[in-house]
Amino acid sequence: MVEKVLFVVFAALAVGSGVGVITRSNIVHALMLLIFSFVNIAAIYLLTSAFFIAVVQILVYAGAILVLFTFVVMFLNLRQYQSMEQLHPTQKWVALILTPLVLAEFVVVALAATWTAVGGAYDPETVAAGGGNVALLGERLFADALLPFEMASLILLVGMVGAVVLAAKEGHEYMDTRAWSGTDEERTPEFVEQEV
Amino acid sequence: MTEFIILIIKLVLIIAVAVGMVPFLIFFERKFAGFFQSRMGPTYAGPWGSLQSFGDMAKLMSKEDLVPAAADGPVFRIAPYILFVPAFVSMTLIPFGPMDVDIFGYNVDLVVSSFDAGVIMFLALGSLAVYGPVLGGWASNNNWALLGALRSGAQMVSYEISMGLAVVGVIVMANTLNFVDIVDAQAGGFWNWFFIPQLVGFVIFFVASIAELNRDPFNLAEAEQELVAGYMTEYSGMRWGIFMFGEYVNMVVMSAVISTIFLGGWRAPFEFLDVIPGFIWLVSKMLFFIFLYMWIRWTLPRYRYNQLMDIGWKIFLPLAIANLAVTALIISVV
Repeated sequence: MVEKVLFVVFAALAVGSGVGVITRSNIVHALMLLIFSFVNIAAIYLLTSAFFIAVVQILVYAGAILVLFTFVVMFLNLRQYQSMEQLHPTQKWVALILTPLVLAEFVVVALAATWTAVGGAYDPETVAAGGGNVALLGERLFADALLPFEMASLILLVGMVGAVVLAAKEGHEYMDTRAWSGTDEERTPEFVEQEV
Repeated sequence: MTEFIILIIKLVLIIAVAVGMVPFLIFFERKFAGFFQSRMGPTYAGPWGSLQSFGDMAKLMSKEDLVPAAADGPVFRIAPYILFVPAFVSMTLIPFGPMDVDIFGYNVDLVVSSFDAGVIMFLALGSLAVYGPVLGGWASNNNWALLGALRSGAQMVSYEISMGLAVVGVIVMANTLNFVDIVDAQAGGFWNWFFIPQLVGFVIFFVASIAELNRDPFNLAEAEQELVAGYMTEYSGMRWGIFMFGEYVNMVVMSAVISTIFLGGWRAPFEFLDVIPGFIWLVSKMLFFIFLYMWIRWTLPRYRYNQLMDIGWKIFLPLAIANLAVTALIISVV
């Protein structure tokens, strides 16, 4: 009973703040609501006793990815572009067609799919017997699903190397922080000129 | 029902410890600052100036609540509180004594939540604390504040990585992510505490925690000489006070976590000293680390920003990975 009430509360907060995310015109307010929505989803995971998933939800989404979002927003100073309509006038109409399609897909998949767990069904008792949430998940991940797991990390590595290559363009020495680490005498004359 | 009441009592006690220590810490900080710099520190309010913190509080509360006209009102108002919530939740993971203690006829575990993924929970909450300074600085609509916010965000994100990797060594040795089991793995005297086999991890974790707390020598985010006061530039009165309060609460929590992971938590250094309750051992270890934080703050000059990033990414990160690799190798061989 208590769990059902809590589920309704957290689900309502998650959906409500999700609606807020797409209706706010101020992008930082939207970001804060998105963080709040993610935290509420983590709370729903907690209600289903999926402790590890809940913590990873906070760590990866609310803690890491959205911090990056916040950085980008702050660097770009998007306050000046609050009306995104001027930048992407056709986007509204594309979204109007695409979003019902995606929604329909979700509904169809959710209704049609039969969910099976790797290595049998789990309930709180079997999880406790198997040594807890983290131990069981780790075992499944590194025993039964090792190849997909390693593939995922490889894809992430490719993304990381790509980002470094794109960011480290040549001919931008003054962007390099190492240019600052020497003494004043070591600075190149052009550099001092630029600064003045 | 009794379980629920016991839980509420535990939560209140935890918050009381975290919040109740802060006025004393502010007083200690001022006195230590005086001591390290050959000054007297506060002397007027109360005996040896011991009521100074309460005077500060009265001053801050009676000040006008200023919100700059160009600031983003709601975010500006919320930001200082964001520092608190993760700190309080982290505090619930710390065991203050053994499990199944008999108190007034009730069986009580001296921890609020014996959480399966406790260490990861602590790291996750630490990553949420970044939003306090970052949003506060952004919402101020001030160049100094924005620069301070960017610096503090980049700094906290960078040092989180070495911090997380430094703990993994302990996790591998203790074979658990639960703070309660980590303390149990260190039972039997101080030679079993993890700071000895994990000395490298311990040092990395401690230094990274200073960076996470935005304290000197890593307080780049507020660097007075360059950024006025960084992300706190536009804050005044009690809103500024709440930022400071949050930093001290975070200091209490961080010292509790370090003591739990590396110094045996509530365990006594020798088994015959177990007659002294674990709570007192934990608090004295926390006070030791808090003293270290203050000592370092008032002794060392501030690092430059590129030096800070160099230390984090080029020294600590490889060291932490090497430490983890060596630990894993030794554990799997022995």
